[in-house]
Amino acid sequence: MKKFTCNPNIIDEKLKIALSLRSLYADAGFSYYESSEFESYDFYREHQDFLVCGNIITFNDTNGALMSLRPDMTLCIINSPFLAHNKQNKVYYDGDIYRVSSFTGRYKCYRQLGVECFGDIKDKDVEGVFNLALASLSTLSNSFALAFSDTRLISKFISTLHLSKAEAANFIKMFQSKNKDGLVDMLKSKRINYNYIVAMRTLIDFPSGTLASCEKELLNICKTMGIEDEANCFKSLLGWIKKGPWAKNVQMDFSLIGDLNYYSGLYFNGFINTIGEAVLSGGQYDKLLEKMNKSGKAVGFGVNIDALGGAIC
Amino acid sequence: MLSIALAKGRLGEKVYNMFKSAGFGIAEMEEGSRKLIFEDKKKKIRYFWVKPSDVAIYVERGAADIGVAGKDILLESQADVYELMDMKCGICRMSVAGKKGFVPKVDKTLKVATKFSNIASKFYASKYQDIEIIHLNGSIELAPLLGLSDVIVDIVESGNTLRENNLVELEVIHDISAKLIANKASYRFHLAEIVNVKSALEKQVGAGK
Repeated sequence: MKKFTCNPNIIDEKLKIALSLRSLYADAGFSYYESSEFESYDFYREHQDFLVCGNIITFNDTNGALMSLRPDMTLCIINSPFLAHNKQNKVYYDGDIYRVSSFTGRYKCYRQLGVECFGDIKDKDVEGVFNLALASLSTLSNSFALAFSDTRLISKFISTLHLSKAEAANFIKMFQSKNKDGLVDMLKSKRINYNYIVAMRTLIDFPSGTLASCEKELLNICKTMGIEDEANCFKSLLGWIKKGPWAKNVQMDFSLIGDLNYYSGLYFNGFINTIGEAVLSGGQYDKLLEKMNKSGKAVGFGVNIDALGGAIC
Repeated sequence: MLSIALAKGRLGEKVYNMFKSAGFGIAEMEEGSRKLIFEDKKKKIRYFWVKPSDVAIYVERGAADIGVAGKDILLESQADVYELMDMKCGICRMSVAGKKGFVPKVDKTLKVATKFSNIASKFYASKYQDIEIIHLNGSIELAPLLGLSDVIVDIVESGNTLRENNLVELEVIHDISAKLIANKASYRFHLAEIVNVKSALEKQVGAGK
C-alpha cells in the first residue's frame, strides 16, 4: 500500500485534535465507522425526541424520496444493518452533522467525533466508555471536568414525588437550571413531604463537595425517599468512578438530565476550562435500542470538535 | 478571576451595591468612569457593564462566569444558564393588559403586542389559544389604544403606566425579579468562588439590603 506524507504545517488545530482522538479510540479497540450524510427523513422523524434539536434539513432526492442531512451520528450507527446487536460493537466516528445552533437559531454544520459501544455489552464496557471520555478530555486539556448523573435515579425521584407529566417536565427544567427557589415553591404548592423537599434542595446543590461526600449525601437522600435499591445500583457505578485515575476531575451533578425516554443510566457532560459550553456529551441509552426494536445495551459519547478550535490549553 | 456581568442602569447599580456590601466592590467602579470593564486582581473579580437584555447572553456563552439578569430576560431568551438565586430586587410581573372591559372575541384571532414574543407565545400556547403576535420594541401600551392590538404582554411594576393610559392588568403570567445566573461550564471550574459569592449575596438578601 502506498504511504502518504504531508507537510505538518498545513495541519490545523481541529485536524490535530481529531487525529489525536481517533488514535485514542483506535488504540482502545474501537473500529472506524463511516456513514452517509444522507438518511431517510422518516427515520429521524420517528426518533425526533432523541435529537438535540428537532429541526432537520430535508431535501428531495432525484427519485423523489424525502431525505435529510444527518442531524445525529448515534441514530444512524445504531440503525446500521452491518452491525449485529447480538454481539459487542465498538465503533468510533468522525463526521459532520447538521443542527440548529442554540446560540444563533440558524442551521450550522458541526464536526462531531465520538464512540458508540452497543449490543451484547457489560457494565465494564460502560465503565470503559466513561474512562475513554475522561481520557478524551485529558488529551485535549490539563484543565477539564466531567460531570455525571444517573437517569434511573432521576426517574425514580420524579416518580416518588407523584408529579403529573407537565409537573415532571417543569421539575426537570428547574432542576436542569439549578433553580432551587422555583423548585421548592413548586413542591411546596403540591404539599410534597417536607423531607422530600429538603432532599431535592440538597440534591440540586450537587456537586457540594468531594465525590465521597456527595455519595454519602446521595445515599441519605435515597434512604429518605425510600429508593435504596436504585441507590445500590448507583453505588457500584460510583465505586469504579472513584477508583479511576481522573477521579478528581469528576463531579456528581444531578442537574444533568438527558432525555428520560432514551437514557437509561449514566449520563455525562465534559468541559474544558476557557470554553463556555460542554464539549463532550454522552451516556447509556438502552431505551433508544428498545424503541428501535433492537436488543442489547448501548453507551457512547460525542465530542463537539467545532467548540474546541483554538481554545485548547 | 471571576467575571461578573451586570446590567447597565438603575437595577445594575442596585445589584452592584449588594455585591459591594458583600465584600466584592471595586473602588474604581464608583468613580463615575465610563469604562465598561473593571478588574481587581487582589479580589480576583472582574465586572462588565452590559445592556440588560444582553447579560444572559454573556453568561450563556461564557464571556462572563456569573451575572444578574431579570427573570423576564431569562424567560424570553431561554438562555441555557444556571439560575442560582433570587436577588429579591427588580420585583415586578409579566402580565397581559388591555383596555378596561376588554372581552376577547371567539370569532377573531387575538392580537397581542409585546416586546416579549417568546413569553407571549408560550403563555397562549399553554392555553391552546391561537394569537397574532405584533412585536414592538417600546411604548407597548400605545398598541391597544391605537387599535394595533387587542392586548399587550409587558412588564408591570406599580401599574401606574397602565392606569394613566386607561389600561388594566388582565392576567399575571409570571412574577419577575433579578436572578443570579451562572455559566454551566464556569460552574465546573469556579464552583468555590461562585458558591462564596452566592452565600455572601444570600446574607445581603436575607438582611433586606
